[in-house]
Amino acid sequence: MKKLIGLFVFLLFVGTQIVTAQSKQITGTVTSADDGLGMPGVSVIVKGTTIGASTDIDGKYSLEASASDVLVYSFVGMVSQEITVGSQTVINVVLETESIGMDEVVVTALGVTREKKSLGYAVSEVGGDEITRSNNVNLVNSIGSKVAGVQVNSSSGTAGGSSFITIRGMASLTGNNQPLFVVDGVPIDNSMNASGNPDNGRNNLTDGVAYSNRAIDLNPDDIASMSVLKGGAATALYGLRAANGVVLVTTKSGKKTKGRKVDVTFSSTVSIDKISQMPDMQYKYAQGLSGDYAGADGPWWKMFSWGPEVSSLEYDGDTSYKWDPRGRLVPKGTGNGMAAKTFDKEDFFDTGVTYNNSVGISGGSEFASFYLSASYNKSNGVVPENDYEKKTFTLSSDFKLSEKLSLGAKANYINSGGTRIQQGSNLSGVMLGLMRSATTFDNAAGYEFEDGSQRNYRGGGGYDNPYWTANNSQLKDNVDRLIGNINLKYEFSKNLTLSYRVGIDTYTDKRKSHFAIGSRAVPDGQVQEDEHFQRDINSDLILSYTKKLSDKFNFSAVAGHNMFSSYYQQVYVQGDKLTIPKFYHTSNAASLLVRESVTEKRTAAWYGDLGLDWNNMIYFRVTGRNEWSTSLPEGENSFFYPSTSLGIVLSEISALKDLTWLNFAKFRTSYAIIANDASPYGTFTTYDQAAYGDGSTNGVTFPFGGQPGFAVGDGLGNGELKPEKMKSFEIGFELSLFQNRLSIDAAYYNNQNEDLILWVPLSGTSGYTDRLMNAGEMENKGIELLVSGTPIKTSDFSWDVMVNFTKNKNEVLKLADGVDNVGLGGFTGSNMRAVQGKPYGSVYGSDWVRNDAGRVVVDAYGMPELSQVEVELGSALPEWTMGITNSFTYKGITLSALLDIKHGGIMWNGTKGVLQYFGTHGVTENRGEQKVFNAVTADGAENTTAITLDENWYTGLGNGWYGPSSQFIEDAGWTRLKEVSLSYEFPKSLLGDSFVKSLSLSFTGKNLWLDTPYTGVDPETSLMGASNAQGLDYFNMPGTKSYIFGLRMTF
Amino acid sequence: MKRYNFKFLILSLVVVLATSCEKWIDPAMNESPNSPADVPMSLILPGAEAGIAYSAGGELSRYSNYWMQQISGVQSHASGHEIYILLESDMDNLWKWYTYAGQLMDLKRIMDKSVEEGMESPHYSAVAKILTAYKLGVSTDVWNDIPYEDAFQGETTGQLTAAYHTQEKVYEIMNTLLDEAITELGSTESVFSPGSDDFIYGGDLDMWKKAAYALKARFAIHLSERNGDAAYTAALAAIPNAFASNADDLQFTFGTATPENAPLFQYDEQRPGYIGGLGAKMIELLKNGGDTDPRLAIYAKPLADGSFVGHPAGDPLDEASMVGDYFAKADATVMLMSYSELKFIEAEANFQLGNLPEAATAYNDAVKASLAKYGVSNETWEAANAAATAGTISIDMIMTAKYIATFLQDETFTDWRRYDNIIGLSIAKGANESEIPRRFPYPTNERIYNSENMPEYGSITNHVWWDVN
Repeated sequence: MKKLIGLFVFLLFVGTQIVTAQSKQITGTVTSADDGLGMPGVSVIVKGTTIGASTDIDGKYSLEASASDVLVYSFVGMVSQEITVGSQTVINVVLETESIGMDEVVVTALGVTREKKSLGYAVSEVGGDEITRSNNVNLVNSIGSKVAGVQVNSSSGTAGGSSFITIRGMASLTGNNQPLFVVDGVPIDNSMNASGNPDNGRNNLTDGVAYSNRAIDLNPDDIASMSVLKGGAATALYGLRAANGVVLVTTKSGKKTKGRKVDVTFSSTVSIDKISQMPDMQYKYAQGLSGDYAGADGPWWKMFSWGPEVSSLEYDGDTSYKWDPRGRLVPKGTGNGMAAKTFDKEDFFDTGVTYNNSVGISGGSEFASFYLSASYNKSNGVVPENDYEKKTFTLSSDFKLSEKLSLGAKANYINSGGTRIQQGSNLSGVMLGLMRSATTFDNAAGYEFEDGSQRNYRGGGGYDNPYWTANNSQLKDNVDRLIGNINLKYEFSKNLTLSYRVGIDTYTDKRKSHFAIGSRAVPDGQVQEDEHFQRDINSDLILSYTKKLSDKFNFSAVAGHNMFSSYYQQVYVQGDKLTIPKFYHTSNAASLLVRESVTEKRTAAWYGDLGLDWNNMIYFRVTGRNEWSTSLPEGENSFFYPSTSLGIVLSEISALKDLTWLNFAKFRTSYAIIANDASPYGTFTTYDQAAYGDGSTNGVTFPFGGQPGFAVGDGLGNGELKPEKMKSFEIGFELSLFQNRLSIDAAYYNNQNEDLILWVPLSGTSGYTDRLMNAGEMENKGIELLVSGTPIKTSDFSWDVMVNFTKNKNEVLKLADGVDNVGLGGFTGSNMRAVQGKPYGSVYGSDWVRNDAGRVVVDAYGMPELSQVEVELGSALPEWTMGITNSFTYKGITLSALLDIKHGGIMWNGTKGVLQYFGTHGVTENRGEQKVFNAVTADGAENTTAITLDENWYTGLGNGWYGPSSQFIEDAGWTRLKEVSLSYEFPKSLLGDSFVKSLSLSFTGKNLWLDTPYTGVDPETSLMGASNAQGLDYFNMPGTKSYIFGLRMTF
Repeated sequence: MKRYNFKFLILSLVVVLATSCEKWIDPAMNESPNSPADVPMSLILPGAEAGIAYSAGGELSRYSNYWMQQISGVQSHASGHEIYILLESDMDNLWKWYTYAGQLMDLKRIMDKSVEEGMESPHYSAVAKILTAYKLGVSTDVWNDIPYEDAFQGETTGQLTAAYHTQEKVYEIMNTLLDEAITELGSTESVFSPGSDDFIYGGDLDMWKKAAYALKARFAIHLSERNGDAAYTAALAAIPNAFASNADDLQFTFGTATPENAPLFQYDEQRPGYIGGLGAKMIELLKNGGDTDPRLAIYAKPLADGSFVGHPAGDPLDEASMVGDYFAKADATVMLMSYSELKFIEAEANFQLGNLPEAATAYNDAVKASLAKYGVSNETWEAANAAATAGTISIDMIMTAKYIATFLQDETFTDWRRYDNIIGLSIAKGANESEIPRRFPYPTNERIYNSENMPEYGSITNHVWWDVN
C-alpha cells in the first residue's frame, strides 16, 4: 500500500513535470485601453525565441507555448507587456498607449512609420489638431515657429497671398530653395507662378499682384499629421527635389473596424482681420510745393505734400470744382470757413472677414474604410475688393480585397481663386498710389468721373487713386486642381510586402487681368489672359522586408523604383490699347502679344534602404539612390547618392536603464549626400524670340510690323551640366527627464552645397550675358534646439512650455572663377545678391562717401555725398529665431500663447525712401529741423556743421532716388505674439447621450502684438513673394492681425 | 508554388522597369520646345535692326541729349543724368543687351552664316557689316577703346572675355568693314538677299551702298582733330557716292501697336515727367533771335499760352515745352544717319579745306534738307537763314545749324566734342562734375567680369582718342 501511494505521488510529481514541459495552445484577445476594441497586428512573441503570432482583425491570437514561457505583447506606440503563461490557456491583454515623447511614431520618407527613437536624424511633427487650431488658409503658415530650423515668411496681408518656407537655410543659389511637399506619399507642386509678359522676367515679381504658392490649395482640416524632414538622411530617399527638406503631409483616413462605424466632424470658423502696422505719416502740411498750395488741378510738378500748413487753409465751398466735393482749398479767411481736412491713409483698409466651413466624414467596416470631406473657405481681404475663395472635396478609401491584398484610392479636387490687387513698384499699385497721395486729397470721395477719366490727387496723372486700382485694375484667377493617387499593397507574408503607388497632381490656373483705360501703369488700358497648366505624375514601386536575425538583431530593407514626369505649359496673351471702356476682352484690343512656353522633365530612380537594429538600443541605417534625369546631358545623366544614420538609445544601457529621473536619452548622427537637379533646357544655347527693353521701358517685341524675329540667346548653355550636390552632416541628442516632464532635443547640422548651378554672369564681349555653370559653393551650419516641459501637472491642470530655437549661419563660399556676386532680384540702387564670403541674400545698394575708417565724409556745408559704388548693406537672413509656446490646460479649457522672436536680418524700406521725396512720411513733419551728420570733414575733424532737413533735403539727397539706399536699411527683427488661443472642450458628461460626440469652441488671436524696430509695415513681408529675393519692402501691403472664432463638432 | 510565382513576378517587373527606363529618360526631352534649333538670316536681321534703332533712340542718345541740353531730365534718375551723374551700373544694359551680347553678336551670327557652304550670301554679309560698322562707331565714340575681333567666342572657343582695341584700331576696323561691304554689295550671286526682313531699306542694295559711303564720310570727319586735312579730304571723297536726298536716310520707323512703340514715346508713357521738356539752349536757338525757325513747332509743343519755354540744365522743376509729336509719337522715326548730316559734313570739310563757296552751298542744302524732312520748308525763312555765301559762311554757323539739325541724335555729342563746345553750353547747375563730360563710363559688367582687359579710363571727363582738345 505504501509503495502504491509513493508511486502515485511520484507519478503525480513526474506527471506535473511532464505537464509543465509540454506546450499548449494559448489563445486570447488583445485590446486597446483607449477604446476597448480589439487591436489587429499586435505581435505576440515567446520571449527568447522566434516563435510568435500576430493578432487578427479582432485582436485575437493563437499560438503554442509552455507554462514557463513568457509572452511578449508589443505594438508600435503602445507599452509592451510581458506575461508568463503559467497555467493559463486564455490570456487577454489590454495595451496602453505609450506616453508621448518616448516611443512616439513619426511618418518618415516614403510614408514609412517608424518609432521616433529609432531614427538617426531629425524629424519634427506638427499634429493635425495644431494645424486646424492655427486656422491658416495657407498651410505653409501653420509650420513656422512650431518647428526648429524652419523659417516661414508670408508675403503679404492679402487674401490668397503666398508664403515662403525654408528649412535649414537656403541650399541653392538660383534654384528652388523651398522644401518638397509630399501628400500621402505623392509629391505635389508648390510653385508660385507669376503673371505678366514673360519677357519682363523677374520684374513681374516687383510689380504685379501677390500670387499664391500652390500648397495653399490643401485643406488644413484634411490633415492628420505633418512631419518635417530636415536633414539629408531624412530626405535622401526622395531624391533630387528633397535637398531643401521635405514636408510630409498625411491626410485623414477612415479606420477599419468590426461592425460599422461612421464619424462626422464639422468645423466652422469666422476670422476678423485688421491691418497691423503702417508707416508713420504726416498730416500737418497740405498738397503743394515749396509752401505753395496746389490742388489736383494745379501744375503737375507741384503735386507733392510740401504745401502750406493745413491749419492755414479752408474750403471755398465751390460745388463746381470737380476735384473735391467740399470745394477748393484757399487761404484761411478767403473761403467759407470750413477748415481744411486731412485724410487718414489707414481708412482705406477694410475689416477683412474670412469664413471657413468644413465637414469630414470617416468610417469603416471590417473590409473597407473611407474619409470624405468638403470645405469652403471665403476670405475678404483688408484691401477693398481683394478676396479669395477655396472649395475642396476629398474622398479617400481603403479596401481589404483579401487577406493579403489591399487597395486604396484617393481623390482631392480643389477649386480656388480670387480677386487680386496690384501692388509693389507699379504706377497702378494700390499702396504706391495710397501712400504718395497728398494729405489733403480725399481718395474716397470718388475715383472716376462720369466721362471715365480718373480722379486722383495728380489730376488724373501720376499714380492711380487706390480705389481706382482696387476697382479698375484687378487680376482674377481660377485654379482647378486634382490631386489623386491609387495604391496597392500585397503582403506576401508578415515580413515581405510589395506596394505600388501612382499619383497625379494636375492643375489649370486661368488668370484674367485688366487695367482700365486711364490707369497710370497702362493709360491705354490692357487685358491679360494668362493660363498655366501643370501635370505631375509620380509612381513608386516598393518592396519592403523585415527579418528578425536573432533575439536582439532586427533587419529591415526597402527597395524601390520611382518614375516621375512633370509637364508645364504657359500661354500668355496681352491685349493693349482698348477702345470700349470696361469691356475687358481681347477683341477690344488694338494690338495683341502672345507668348507660349513649355517645360517638361522626367526622372527615374532606383533606391534602397537597409536598417539594422540591435536590442532596441542601436539603430543603424544606410540608404542609396541612383537617379536619372532628362535635364542633364546625355551620357552624364545618372548619379548615385548615399546616406547613413546611427541612433543609440543610451537610456537602454543597463547602467542607465533604471534611473528614475532619466526616462529617455538618445544620441543620433547622420551623413548624407543628396543631389539637386538642374532646370530643363540648360544644356543647349537657344535662339530667343527677339525682344528689346531697357531698365526704364518695356521696349519692343517681335513679331514686329508683321515680321517674326529671333536673336541669339543671351544665355550660354552648358553641355557638361552636373547635378548640385549637398553633403549633409548632423549630430544630435534627445533627452527626456523627470517622468517626461522635461524633454530636450538638440541638433547641430553642417550642410555643404557644392556644384551649385547658377547663371554666371559674363562679360558681354563673349557674345553672351550669362553662362549656366556648376560653380557655386555654399554652406549652412546651425543648431536647432527644442526644449519642452510641463512645469505644473496636477490631475486637472497642466502647464506646458515648448521653446524652439534655431540659429542658421549661411555663407556663400564660392560663386565661379572671376565672379564674386550674382543678382537675385530687386531694383537699381537696392537689390539682393549672393556674394562670395557673405550670407545668401545680401542687400546691395548705394551709400554715402566714407573714408577708410568707415566714417561718412561731409563737405564744408556739412552735407554728405552720394558714392557711386554699390556696397553691401546687410543680410536679410536672421541671426536666430525662437518660438515660445505656453499652454495651460484646466479640465476642458486650454489657453495657449505662441511668442515668435526673430533676431537680426535687415529690410530695405524702399517705401520710406520714396515717401520722404513726396513729403508724406511722418519724418518730414518736422520741416526745417537742423541735423548734424555723424561724420567727419575732409581733413578728419568731427563734423559740427548742421544741415537743414527741409524740402530741399528730402527732394535732394534725403530720399531713395537721389540719395543712397543705405539710409533706408532697417533692422527687421521682431518679437510678436503670433498666436493666442483659448479653447473649451465640452465635457462628455454635458453632451451625455446626444448624438454629439464632442464639441469644442475656440477663440484664436493672431499677430495681436508686434514689437519691432522696423518703421514700415509688418516686416514679415516680401515684395517678390515666395522667391529667393526676400528683404525688400517697396510699397508692400500691410500685414494683418486676426481674431478667429471657431466651433468644432464630431458626431 | 507561391514563392516561385512571386520571384517570377518580381523579375518580370524589374525587367519591364529597367527597359522602360531608357525610353522614359529620353534625352530629346531636354531640347527646348520653346526655341528653334536654327534660324535663317532673314529672321535674325530684323531683330538686330530693331535693337540698334531702339537703343539709338533710347538710352544711348538720351544720356548725351541731356548733356547736350537738347532735352532736360527733371525727375528721379533723369535729373541725376542731367547733372552728369552717370553710374557704371547705368551702362550695363546698353553694353550687354544693346551692343555685345545683343546686336553685335546677332550681326556676327549673320556674317558667319553668310559664308556657310551652300549658303553663300554676300548681300547679307554686307548689310551685317554696315550695321556693325555703324554700331561700333556709336559705341567707340562714347567708350573710346572697345573690343571687337577678340569677342563673341563664348560658344565657339569658350573664351569668355575679350581684349580691347585702341580707338584708332577700331576706326580702322570700321573702315575695313565698310569697304568689304561695298564690294560685297556688288556681288551678282547671293543665295539669300535681304528683302522684307530689312526694315531700313527693304533689301535695296543701292541704298545700302549709299549708306556705307555716308558712314565712311562720317567716320572720316570724326578724325578731324587727329588727321587734319586728310580727314576732310577723305570725307569729301566718300560723299559723292553717299546719300543723294532725304529719301536715302538711314532710319528706322517704329509702329503704333504697343509692342512696336518708339523708345521716346515709351519713356514718356512709362516714366512720365522724367523728361521735363526741351533744353533752354535748344529753344533759344530755335527762336533764332525773333526769326523763328519753322522747326520750332515740330521740335517742341507750345505751352498752354502758346509760348515756347526751355528748361535750363540743372534748374528745379518748372514748366517747359515738351518734345514735339514728330519725335515723341508712338510710330516715330529714329534717325541713324541723315542726308542733312552728310551735307553738314560736306560743308565743314570744304570750309576747313578753304573751299568756301562749296561750303556755303553745302550748308544751305543741309539746312533746307532738314526743314524739308519735317515738311516745314519755308522759302522766306530759308532766304534769310539758308543763304550763306562764301563771304558769310563760318564754322560757327555750320556747327550751330548742325546742332539744331541733329536734334535727339547721338551725333550731336560727337560734334560738340570735336569743336570744343562751339555752341557755348554752360555747365548744368549743381553739376556733379567740374565740366560737361566727354565719355561714358565702362559698365560694371566689364569692370567685374573682364577686369584684366578693361582699360583704366579715369573719369567721364576724360577725352576719347580722337577728341584731342
